[in-house]
Amino acid sequence: MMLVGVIPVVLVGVVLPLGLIAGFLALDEGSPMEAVTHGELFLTAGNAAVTGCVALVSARHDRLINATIASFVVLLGIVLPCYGAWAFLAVQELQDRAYSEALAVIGGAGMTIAAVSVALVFVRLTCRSK
Amino acid sequence: VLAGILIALLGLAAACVAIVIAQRLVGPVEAPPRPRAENDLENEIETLRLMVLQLRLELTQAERSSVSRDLELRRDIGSARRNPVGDERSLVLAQAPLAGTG
Repeated sequence: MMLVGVIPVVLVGVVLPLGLIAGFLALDEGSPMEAVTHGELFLTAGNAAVTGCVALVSARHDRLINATIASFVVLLGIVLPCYGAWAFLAVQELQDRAYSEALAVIGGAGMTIAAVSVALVFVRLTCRSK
Repeated sequence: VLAGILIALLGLAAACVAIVIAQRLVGPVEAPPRPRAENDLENEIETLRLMVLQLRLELTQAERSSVSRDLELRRDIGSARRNPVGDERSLVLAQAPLAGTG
């Protein structure tokens, strides 16, 4: 049961966004690592957190209001900053302005770890305790 | 680099807060309530068990009362045989066989 929840978090939240962006960059003869240096880790972090929230809200009908409140906290505390940082870095890149790759890599990695941790805890909360 | 580290730390702090809030608000999955029919059946079984206990208690009391009456009758028969008064009950009691005495 836990594995069933972990798979969408890892696949939909982390692997697909980063993999697809890296794949399209590779098709355009760009380095796949640019997916990381452009701040896409923030996108994966946000997606992972959203996936965990969806899993929690869709599974815990017994405490739907509380699950919604917890998901809202995650959306405001993690997803919004992640998407904000990702959008900021994307705009800087699109307009050829300078931006810090260290911010994209280190901040993105930290947020990804945080978001995946939250998503896994949410998935664990959807499983029946033994 | 500093901004990246700061954002990562802020993200981890937010994650910790979110995890604590989620644990407090949602908690582990509770066992689902049992079906009503099953509960009703268990209540009925418990009621029947209580009725059986009550009947057994009444049976014990009745047996005790019967033994008590039997002892009283034996005592009356013995008394009638030792001291025949002459009335009808004493005569019947004196001629009654005393079970267990041969």
